[in-house]
Amino acid sequence: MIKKILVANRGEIACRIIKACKEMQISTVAVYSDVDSESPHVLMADEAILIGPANPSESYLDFDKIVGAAKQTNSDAIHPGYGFLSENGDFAKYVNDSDLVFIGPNPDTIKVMGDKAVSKKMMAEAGVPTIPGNDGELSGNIDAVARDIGYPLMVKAAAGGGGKGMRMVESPEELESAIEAASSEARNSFGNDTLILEKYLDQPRHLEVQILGDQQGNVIHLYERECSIQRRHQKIIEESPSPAINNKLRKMMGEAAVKAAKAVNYSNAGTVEFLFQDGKFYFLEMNTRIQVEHGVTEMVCGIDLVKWQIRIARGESLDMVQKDIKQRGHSIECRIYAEDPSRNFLPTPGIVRKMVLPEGSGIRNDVGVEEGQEITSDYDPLLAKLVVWDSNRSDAIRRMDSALGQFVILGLITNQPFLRDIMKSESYRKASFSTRFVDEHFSDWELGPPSPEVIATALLASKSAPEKVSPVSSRDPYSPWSNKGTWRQNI
Amino acid sequence: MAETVTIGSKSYSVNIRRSGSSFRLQIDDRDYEGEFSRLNNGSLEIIIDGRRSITYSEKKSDESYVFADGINYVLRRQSHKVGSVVQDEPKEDLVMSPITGKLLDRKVASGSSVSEGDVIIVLEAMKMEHRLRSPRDGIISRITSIEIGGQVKEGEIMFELEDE
Amino acid sequence: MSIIQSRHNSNGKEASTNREHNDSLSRELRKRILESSKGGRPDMVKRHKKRGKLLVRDRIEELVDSDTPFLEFSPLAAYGLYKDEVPSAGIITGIGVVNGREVMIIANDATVKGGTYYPLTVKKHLRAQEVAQDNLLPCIYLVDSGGAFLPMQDEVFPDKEHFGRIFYNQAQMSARGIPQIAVVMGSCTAGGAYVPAMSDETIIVKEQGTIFLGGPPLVKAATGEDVNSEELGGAEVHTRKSGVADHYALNDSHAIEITRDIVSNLNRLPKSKLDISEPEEPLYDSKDLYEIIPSNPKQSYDVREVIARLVDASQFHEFKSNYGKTIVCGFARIMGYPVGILANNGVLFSESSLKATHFIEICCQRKIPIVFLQNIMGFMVGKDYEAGGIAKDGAKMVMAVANAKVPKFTVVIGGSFGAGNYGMCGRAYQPRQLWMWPNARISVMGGEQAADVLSTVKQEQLLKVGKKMKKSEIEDLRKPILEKYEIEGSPYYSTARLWDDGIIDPLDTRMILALGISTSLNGPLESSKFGIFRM
Repeated sequence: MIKKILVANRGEIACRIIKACKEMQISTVAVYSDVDSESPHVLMADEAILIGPANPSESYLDFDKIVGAAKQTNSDAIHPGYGFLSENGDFAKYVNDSDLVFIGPNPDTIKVMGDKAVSKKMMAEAGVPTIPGNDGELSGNIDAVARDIGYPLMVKAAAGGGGKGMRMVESPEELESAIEAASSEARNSFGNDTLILEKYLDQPRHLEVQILGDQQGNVIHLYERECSIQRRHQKIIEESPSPAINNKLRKMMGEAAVKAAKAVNYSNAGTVEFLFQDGKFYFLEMNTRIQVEHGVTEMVCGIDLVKWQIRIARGESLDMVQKDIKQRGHSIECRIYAEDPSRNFLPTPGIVRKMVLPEGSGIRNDVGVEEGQEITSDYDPLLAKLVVWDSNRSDAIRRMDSALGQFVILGLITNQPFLRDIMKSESYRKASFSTRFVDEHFSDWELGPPSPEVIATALLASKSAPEKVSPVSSRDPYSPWSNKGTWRQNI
Repeated sequence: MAETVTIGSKSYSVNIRRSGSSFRLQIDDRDYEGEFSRLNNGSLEIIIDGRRSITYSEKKSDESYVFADGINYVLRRQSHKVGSVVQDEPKEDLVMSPITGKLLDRKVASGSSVSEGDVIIVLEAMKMEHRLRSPRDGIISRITSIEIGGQVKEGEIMFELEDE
Repeated sequence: MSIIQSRHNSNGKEASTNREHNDSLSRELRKRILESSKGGRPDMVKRHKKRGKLLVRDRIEELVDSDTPFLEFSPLAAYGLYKDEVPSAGIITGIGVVNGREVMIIANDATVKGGTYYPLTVKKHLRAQEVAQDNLLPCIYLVDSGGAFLPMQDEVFPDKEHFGRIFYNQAQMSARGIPQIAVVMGSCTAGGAYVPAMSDETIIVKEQGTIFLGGPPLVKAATGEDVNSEELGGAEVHTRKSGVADHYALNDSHAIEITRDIVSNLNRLPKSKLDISEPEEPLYDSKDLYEIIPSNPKQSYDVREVIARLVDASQFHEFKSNYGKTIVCGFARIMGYPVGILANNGVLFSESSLKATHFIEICCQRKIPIVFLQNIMGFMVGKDYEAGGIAKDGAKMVMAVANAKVPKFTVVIGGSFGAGNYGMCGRAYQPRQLWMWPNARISVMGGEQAADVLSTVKQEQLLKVGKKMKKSEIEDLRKPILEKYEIEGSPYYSTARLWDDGIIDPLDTRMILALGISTSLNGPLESSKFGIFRM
């Protein structure tokens, strides 16, 4: 029986999970580092435990501290969110071994799917289309393997993700140095320098399918999300359904995803990522956790994924079958990051001095920061996710454009203006894009010239220099010299 | 007051004059007239050329943050105030006699290296001694050639330090 | 107090004609003021800034407290004169607030002809000093001037109300305890050197301000000595050696900071006590004034409609309302300050003159400031009235006005013709400030009247020799007179020559009167003593 959950995460996902728990009347425990002591997730939870300094390895990534906090608070389960320890099989095992429920798939599944080489092999065996490449570890005549795959190709860390330990190779001459570089980066980032080679797709779209499986072996999919709008291999705009595929492909991908999940006895929420190009899709990897962009699926399918994660962890069975899942309308998500798109998406820490969220029907805000909070370089600079829903794609785009245009966030540079420009662009509306969208259309993006209202506001809103404020005379208390503000005859 | 406002990589020369709720704004070479009022929630209502907008802003020393027209901006500001500074003493490489009196002693010769505070010349007037010290480390480029016991007039050059 | 009942109808055709007319007059006024506030030629402005100097208006903005009014005087001085090359007569004067107290600021605009003194520049400077003296305001001179404008030296140097009077005023004010502060931000040559030399405290900007009785060229010519401006009379010399200046500033902003410090150390005394109440806005919309002021100056209207839109809560305690109805007298408050108001509502008769005289005496006794709203064609003429003694009754009014020592404020809201101007406290009668509305007119008599008088005289002359004037000849005689009076009677003609302290938007009248009254409280409220009233 899960009556109390410790959320081993921070920011908007921690808030999201806590909200779901509240709705299910489950108590919540937040953990936090010392810079997060007044973060929204800490204030929302029923209890909160300080687990260490800002550096994640000493707090949010520390097994003992997290499990210790769970034990201390008599929690029943730990929800890992995304990132941090959510796909760390050792952590999942540690949690289970500590008599706590890990809300996610079982540790072995996590480990298997965390290994790109192994997972690819398993998928191929299960009949899921995969990217042409070497299956398993590199051995033997690497050049021959590479030639078989064909150039251009990708050298990838088997244990990696997030763009690390990857190198693109255009010709045989570059192969050796690419392998060296990728393997050392992999060793440093993941502690594992195993590499795989794969064909490089030059204009792929990134499509992923949400799946949900219970502990009784039932698996359903909740259709796809289109996630091709990325920068630095990180998604910034996602939508569902994908404008790129027809229902036939949709069905095929969904079934392939379910097949993949069943092949590894998947339980809980997960996502199967595919690359799609020239009408064909290929398994890329499986994410064994709830994802940042889960919201768009929730909006379109009408199902609360986080609550299902908890139910599944409790041992409940899915109460719907595949044909019950329908996509309705269209949903888009924009991720608001504290970064400067005109300077290569450099993270821009600062203090959130003012925030006003857009509101209205079909608008959902998943926010993890609040006014007064300082955004430091310790953590991922994701400030908020703005999700909209409308009955079709064009309406959803208009709604998102309008919502972004009402999103006030002052005190630091964010990508809000950049996201707005993408939403207004012809190329986004046409929907013919690949993962190279940002590079192709927005690599030289700059903020446009400000309207006079911007300058007027900055100049008018200034508070008077304190040493220049006029004291009031007691014999002449209502004097217009001190009571009427600035007054001139030559405006 | 005029100032320079920088947004991203572009800068603008701006100035605003106001009276009551009216203002006149200059951005580079363009002039705008408008009205404004502060709303209860801290935002501003601005009307320029018949266009009405609600804007938000925050400020921190030399940065302003503005939301207007659906976009969040960060502005860096630099006022054209010519800048007030602390008083600086003009260089005193040339030391003159502050009094009219008698030259009692000359401690070094031209070309000598001296340190800040070293006594270079001793004068006497009204039975009181005046010691003239070196204002900084340096080399004496010239020193008065008045003979010991001779008369010194106020303002007369006693010694000079070589240019640094 | 009873509230003035307004009978104004905003919906009439008249209202909209008036509104359009007055709106365009106000817009024209604003346009001209804005234009003149730009200062000198763009290349002069550029040169000024390049030297690291602040423009005159920026200096003033930095000097005054944040979020306070600045009441500028005669911004349109020299308008249409000197070939339109000297906007605002090259000098900005006005009352501003520095560290919580009102001060008179007199600042040269060096971008206009080098800040040199034209005849009207001198007049404007002297007028500002007069206002300062009347109201006991400290004077801050932001000096940046090339001295007298030599080509017009005969109108700038020798006479009593010329350049020398500036220093006389400084000496007199200083003797009376009115602080004189000079900030030397440019050159002070020859006579100009006396501005800082005669001030109580002087600041000089390094490598920018200079003070000397004779400049380098003069020195070279006189004694052969070769010396540059900075060596001759720069900041170093005057703050270290000569003691002519007291404070050394690194630049304009620093000088202004020091000035503010000086003001904060002036030992400001409390203002005079006046029975002040909490201000209340008039009940009626002040914008109605545009609809009330007739576009046709011959049209009459009830001046109470104007008063109702100037005074607190539109409350007015009228005095002798049934007697002498062509002048309206009464007590009211303007932004909390008690005032006595006299406003013309027609031609002056004996009764109206007597009523006015009585009312002025009451105000003087109670030490209540007086506001005169002038709209006067003149005194009534005719056999009966002369026999009735209108001359001596008018004289009584003038005696009262001239000797009234309470602060007096005049606003010309319509015509200001002939002796009516005198009785209603025109320029010669020392109002603390005199303002004109854009629709105002001022001349010895109305243009039509003058044309009539002159053509009547001419026709009589010709009749004596048996000639008669043709209609077209009469027209030819009248036309130039009408034109002359049209030009010379215009408020812009008046303001250019400093016959007033500025043309103001009717909507600003309330604020400007309140500022004036508040300023006058810096001085004592004196008792008045009147001469002989011819009974």
